[in-house]
Amino acid sequence: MDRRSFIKIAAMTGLAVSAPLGVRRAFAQPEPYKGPFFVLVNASGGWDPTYLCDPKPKGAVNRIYDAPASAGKLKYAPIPIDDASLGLDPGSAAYLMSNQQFFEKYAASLTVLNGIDMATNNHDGGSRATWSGRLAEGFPSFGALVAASRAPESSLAYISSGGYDATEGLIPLTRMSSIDALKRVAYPNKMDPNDAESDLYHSNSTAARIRKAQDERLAEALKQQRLPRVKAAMNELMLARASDDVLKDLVLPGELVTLPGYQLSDLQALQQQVQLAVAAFKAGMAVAVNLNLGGFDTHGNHDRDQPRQIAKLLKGVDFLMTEAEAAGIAGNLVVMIGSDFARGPGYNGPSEYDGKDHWSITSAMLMGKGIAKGRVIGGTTDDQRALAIDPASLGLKEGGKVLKPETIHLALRKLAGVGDNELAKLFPLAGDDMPKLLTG
Amino acid sequence: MTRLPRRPRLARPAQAALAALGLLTGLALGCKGGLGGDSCVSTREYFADEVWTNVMSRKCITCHGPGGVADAAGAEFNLLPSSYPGFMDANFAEVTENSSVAYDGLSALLAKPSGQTKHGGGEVIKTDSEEYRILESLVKQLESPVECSDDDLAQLEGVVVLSPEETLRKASLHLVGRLPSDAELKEVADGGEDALADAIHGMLDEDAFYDRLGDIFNDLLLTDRYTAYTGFAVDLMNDEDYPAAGAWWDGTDGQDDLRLKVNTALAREPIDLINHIVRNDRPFKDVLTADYTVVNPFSAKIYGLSPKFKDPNNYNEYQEAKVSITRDGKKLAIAHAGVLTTPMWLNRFPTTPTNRNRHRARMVYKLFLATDILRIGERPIDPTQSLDYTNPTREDGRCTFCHQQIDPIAGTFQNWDDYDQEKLVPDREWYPEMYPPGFNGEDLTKAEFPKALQWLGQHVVEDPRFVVSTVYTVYRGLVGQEPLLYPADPDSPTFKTDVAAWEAQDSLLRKIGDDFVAADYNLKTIIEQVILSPYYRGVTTDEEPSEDKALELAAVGTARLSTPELLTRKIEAVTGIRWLRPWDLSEYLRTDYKILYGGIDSDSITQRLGRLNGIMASVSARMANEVACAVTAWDLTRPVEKRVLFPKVTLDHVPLGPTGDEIPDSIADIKANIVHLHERILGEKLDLEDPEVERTYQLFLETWKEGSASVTAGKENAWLSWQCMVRVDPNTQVELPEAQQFGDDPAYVIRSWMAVVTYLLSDYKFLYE
Repeated sequence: MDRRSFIKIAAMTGLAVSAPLGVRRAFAQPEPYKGPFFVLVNASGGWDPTYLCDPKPKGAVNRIYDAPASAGKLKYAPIPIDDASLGLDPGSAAYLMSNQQFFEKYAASLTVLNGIDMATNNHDGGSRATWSGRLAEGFPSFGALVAASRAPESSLAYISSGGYDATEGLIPLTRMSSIDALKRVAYPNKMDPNDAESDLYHSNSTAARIRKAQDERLAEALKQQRLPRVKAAMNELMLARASDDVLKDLVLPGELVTLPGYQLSDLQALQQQVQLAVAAFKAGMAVAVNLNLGGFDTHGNHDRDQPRQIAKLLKGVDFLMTEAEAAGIAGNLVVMIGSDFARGPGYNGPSEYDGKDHWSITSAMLMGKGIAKGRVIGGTTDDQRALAIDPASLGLKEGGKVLKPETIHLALRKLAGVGDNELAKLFPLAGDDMPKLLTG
Repeated sequence: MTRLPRRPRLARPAQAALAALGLLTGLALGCKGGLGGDSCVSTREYFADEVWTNVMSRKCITCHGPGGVADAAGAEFNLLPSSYPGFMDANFAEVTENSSVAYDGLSALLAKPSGQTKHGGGEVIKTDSEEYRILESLVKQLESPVECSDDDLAQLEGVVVLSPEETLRKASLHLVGRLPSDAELKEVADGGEDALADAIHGMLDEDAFYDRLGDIFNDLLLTDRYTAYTGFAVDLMNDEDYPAAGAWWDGTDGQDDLRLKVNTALAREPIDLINHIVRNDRPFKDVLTADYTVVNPFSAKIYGLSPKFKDPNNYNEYQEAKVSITRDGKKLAIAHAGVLTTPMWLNRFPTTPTNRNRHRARMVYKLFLATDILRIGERPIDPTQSLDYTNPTREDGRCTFCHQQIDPIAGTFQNWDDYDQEKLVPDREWYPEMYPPGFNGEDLTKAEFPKALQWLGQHVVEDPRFVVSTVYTVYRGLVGQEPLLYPADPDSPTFKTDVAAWEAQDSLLRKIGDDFVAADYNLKTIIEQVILSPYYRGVTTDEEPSEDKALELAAVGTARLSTPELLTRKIEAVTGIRWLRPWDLSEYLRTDYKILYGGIDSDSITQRLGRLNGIMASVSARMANEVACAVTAWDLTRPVEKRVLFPKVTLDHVPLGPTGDEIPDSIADIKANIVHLHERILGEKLDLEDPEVERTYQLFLETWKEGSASVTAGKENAWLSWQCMVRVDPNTQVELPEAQQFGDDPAYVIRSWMAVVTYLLSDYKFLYE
């Protein structure tokens, strides 16, 4: 059976494809993954770039700020944040990050892509296109593709907290939660994972004996099995067990972030996702992580809720960079921030409580290893129509090409070094090739 | 009780006893063109394989599909794309109808596309083309359609399925969380497939089954979100209409427990209604049409109801009830429409003033009509052009495609508030600029508005997709994977095998759907038949499949990773103990490890992980260690008649004497117990001489040799670790009388058996179904 057929079967069965059927690479421990690490931050529900990185003059599109502000070459929407305007309990805004704070800190590191044509205004399709590069179903998320390409032996390489995380059978998906539970499973043979001198359930030699018997029995069963789905499941168990010891290197934070009040619970969850993601990267476990923050689908109360969620999102990204810096992996991190699509171009009613509906022309922001710094590519008109660019110079050009998810993902795949590999070829993208789009 | 119609028989009686993994025996299924099968190709199959694949999906659907030019022009010939459930049957019926219309004696099916009569698209198929020849052949066949004997499993040649006894074990663990009784096993051993069907049918009356059914339907409805804390559901209820939703339990005895029960009852109302319908053999249509809800003694109080309960403290006693609210001194009756009008369904799928119930309409399609409206409508568009229209959802073709399907259903939710989701808003003016309330092209009359959801429910359950959807939901729940989609890309190199795989499964699922309808929509019919299908029972093939065959069989087989809930029940069923947090007796896989092990919280995490990752493997490793620790000494020191794991050995059974000589009788007993453990934990019947028994024995022997030597040398303790001692009842954590406590293991026998139990509890056959 060739690999394409195998992957096809695995995709149909939803089971393991990271190693050929019946073959396991010598039961060896996968080497810790050293990077680069990919973080895909999803603003779920459809964000409003005009209130973030694609600012507009005050008017039908923008009712909040007077005029765009600048940080370096980047323009942004200078929306002040305070408890009252964001509808938060007193003191809550202090836990968030304003656009001004964010862009003053990160503008020099960012590539901002404006005027991306998502060709849809439905949530599922938009999210799929943003994170896989294709509107139609059937393609893995970028996180799954890069994880399966760079660490095919690790069944922990792709961790997701939400957003589009289809794997198409390339690699298992991992979720992380409770630190206490993770500590216990990091040391399954220790009765007390917090005690270095803890009693063991089995002596080390017995544990090794059990493992050897397990492996031999499973290998024998696999040898005799012919049904693809069952074979794939057995193969998957082998791979998953091979990763057991990787958790030993997982240094978990002493405790997860807690923020006051229900209103910040989503930011708290995002920051906790960040803590676990950074720990997983540092341990060499993970290649790619999906982070997710909801609440952007502001059909109503847009002017209160959208800036509040953006301020949470930016705080979450800032927290990610800070934690990554502390863990010594910031220089090895690639971050993409995106959403299903945009909102607009105007409001769906005159009231201050009205919202903005779905709009297909959106933006994305990237920073990190290999990403060109301090740039804006593409643009939109004042009524949020996409402006075309020259594929070579990347400058705005009438009659040029409008940015599309396919184009961005072609560039992203190249940046990640997986553009021409076997897996990527199984999921070809038809976008315009703009080799310097992300790297400059 | 209504007796259900018999399940469809397997295509062939037992062909041969084939070894699966060297351990299982099973049935090899018959085949079309093989094992005595025929090579009959029905007209419907010809339509699917040739006409649809090579002609209509390529030449016709663009114009004659939803939103196409012909559709927009009001053409009478309309096709559905493959993203619609049941599209093949619907298209076959449409084509059959169209074929009977003739122009100058020539079927419209030939005359129109070839331009021999007026056709909006002109000539799209030439009369000398292969496409025309295919259509000609179909027209000829339709004059006297070919029908073949109904052999659902024809495509599944060579698949070896679990024997009836093995299927019984799997189904019993899955459905009711227990091992089959000796009596059930004997009946099935004697009575084969028929007895198996009877045994499964019997399980569907057990209370435990409704825990499992609740899990299956919560994966769909996700209303367990509101069980997350003790006030989530009750806090959502507006206290104007439901004044009892206040904290009436404050100050009562056991108020915390009471609040938990009230909240759970309210949160699970949609699930309990479904369970009630299935338990009482009601037509499953009631899930959307029941003009009642169900309450137990705890949820009844929230609604201000006081039906007569046999036991007002029995949480599991449910009664049908009709809810009404009081406004301005007048009673307003809720026009119940099954789950659709339950407060938690309305809250779980909320709306806003600008969303106007469209999200709810989408969920009606998704949950009850097997239709992902976003997928159907998905194609690259330029929504920015909609600004050219005053009312794009009704005027712009890019929008109308979806909105003409979504908006009518949205309108049927008009009697519910946009902010307070479960609040009744009678006599509300609906939006005239939207498509009028209705379903499938039929509008409600104004007089029907007050009972709009009842109207919707009654229409949805008559749609063929309701049957498809219900079959899919059960299939997904039992088999653990999505039903196959019709392959989208006819140019894919695997298209033919993909179609064959889809046809085999679709054929079986359609047959199950037909039987479900014939059984007056009794859901138990679907459950029984899915369990008896090779998709649930397949274990291997009788020979190495070719590459194409492997692709065709990709969806077949019993390889489902147990969910946290299924594994929780399985641990208790086979070991007799639960894997618990000692301090609150909560099961680990329902709490600490639920998400890590791929479960859902029905809130932000709603998709189960079906593939084992490294963390999940570690969770299973810890489970195996902790359960082995808790159960081994406990079981070994119980009276022999109470033991479930170690009935054939004692603490004195050691394999070697002081001089290192084998003790044959002792070894025989140890191996006999190993055989018992393999059967009890893994469901495999082995001979004493089986290599797997020897492998397990060697694990026991080597562990014992090393451990006993270490104890003798003083390198290891002669007693067990504190956690593994017999100190408390492992299921209650209540301390045992001193006389029953036990912790010595000088001969290292307990720890050697612990190694064996750990080994078996982490085996593929234990973790996967």
